Amino acid sequence: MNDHKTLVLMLRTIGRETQPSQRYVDRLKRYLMAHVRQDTSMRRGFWSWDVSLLYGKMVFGLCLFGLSFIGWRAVSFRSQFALDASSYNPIFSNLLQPSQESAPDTVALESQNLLQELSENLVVDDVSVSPEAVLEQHQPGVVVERQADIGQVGEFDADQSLGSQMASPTTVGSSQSPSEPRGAVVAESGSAPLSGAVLTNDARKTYVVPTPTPTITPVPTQADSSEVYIQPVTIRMQ
Amino acid sequence: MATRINGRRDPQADRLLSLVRSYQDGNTSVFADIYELLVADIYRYIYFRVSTKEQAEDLCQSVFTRIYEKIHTFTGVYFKAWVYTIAKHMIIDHYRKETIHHSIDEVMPPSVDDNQDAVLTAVTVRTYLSELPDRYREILLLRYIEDVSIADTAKILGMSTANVRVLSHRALTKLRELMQS
Repeated sequence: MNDHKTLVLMLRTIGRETQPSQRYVDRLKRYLMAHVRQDTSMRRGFWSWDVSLLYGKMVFGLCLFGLSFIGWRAVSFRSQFALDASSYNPIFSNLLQPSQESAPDTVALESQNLLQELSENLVVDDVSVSPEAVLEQHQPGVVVERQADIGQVGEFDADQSLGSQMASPTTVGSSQSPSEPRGAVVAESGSAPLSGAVLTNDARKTYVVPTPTPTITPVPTQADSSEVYIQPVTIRMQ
Repeated sequence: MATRINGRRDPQADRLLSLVRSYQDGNTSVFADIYELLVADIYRYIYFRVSTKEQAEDLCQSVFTRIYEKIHTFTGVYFKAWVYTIAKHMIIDHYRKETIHHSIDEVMPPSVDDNQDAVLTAVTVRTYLSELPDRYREILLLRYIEDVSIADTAKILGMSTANVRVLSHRALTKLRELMQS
C-alpha cells in the first residue's frame, strides 16, 4: 500500500464489494412501487377508468342515484299531499293562500299606534297644518291630546278647510303669522265642526276629531291629475 | 442527447436519462428501472458516510422517496449527479439531527450474507476515511468507491476538475499516511 495505485485499487475493490442485500433491495422496491401506484391512482382522479377503483366508483354512483330517487319521491309526495289537502280541507286552503283580510287590519293597528305615539311627542311649528289634522287625516275618531301654550286657547275656525290650506303651501317659519295662535286645528271643509275643546287644569287641550273621514281636495293647479298634493309640514321632535 | 463523460459516451447515463424523460412524460412504471440502476450506487455512497448499516438503509429509502417526489423538476443531463447531490444533502441533514455518535466498533456488524474479509476491510477503510477531512473523504468516496468521473465529481462537489485532481492526490497521500501510521 505504498503507492497510490494500490490504494486506489483497494478502494475500488471495496466499493464494488459493498452492496446492499438483495432482500433489502426487493423490500425497498416494493415500497417505492406501492408508493408510485398509490400516487398515480390519486393523480388520475375520479373520472379515470382505473380497474382497481372501478368497483368503488360504481358503488358510489349507485348510492348517489338512490339518494336522488328518494329525494325526488319525497318532494313529489309532499306536493301531491298539499294539493289534495287544499282541495278538501279549508284549513289547508287558508294556509296555502295568504289571507288578504288580516293584513290591512294589522297595518292599520300598527299605524294607529305609531300615530298615537307620534302625536304625544310632537310640537308643530307650522300652525297652518296642525298635527291633529294630520292625524285626523289618517285616523279619524282618534282622541288627541297636545301640548298648548299656557294662556292661549286654540280657536276653531270652521271656515278653514284642509283643502284650502293645502292649496296654498307655505314655507315653514316664513309664512307663519305671529298673531296666529299655536294649536289651531284646521277642519275639513263641509264637514261637521269640531266638537269643541276642553281646557284642562294642566293647560292641555283635548280635541275630539270628528269621526267622518275627511276628503282631501285635489290641487287645483293639477286639474288633470288625480294625484293628491300634500302640503309640506315640518315637525320637530320634542 | 448523449451523455459524455471525459469525451466518451456513458451508456448507463444515456439509459438513465431516457428513463427519466419517459417518467416525466407520464410513464410512471419506469421508476422501477431507474431504481434498479441507482440503488447499489446510492446505497454505497451512503454506507461509507453513516455509522450503521441500518442508518444506510433508512437513508437510502429516504433518498429514493425524495427522488420520486422531485424527479419532475429535473432538467439537467446527468441524472446521477443530481441524485448524488440529493443523497449528500440528506446525509448532512442526518448528521444535523443525530446527536449521539457511536463508536466505530459498533458501526458495522458483519452480516452473515456478506463476504467476511470484504466487510472487515471495508470497516478498516471506513475507520481511516472517517479520520480524513470532509473534503478529502468526499473526493475519495466519489472518485474511487463510487467510481464517479472527475467531471461529475467536480459537478457534484461544485469545484473545477483541476481542483478535483489536486484534492484527490492529496487525499490519497493523507490516507496512505494514516494507514502507515
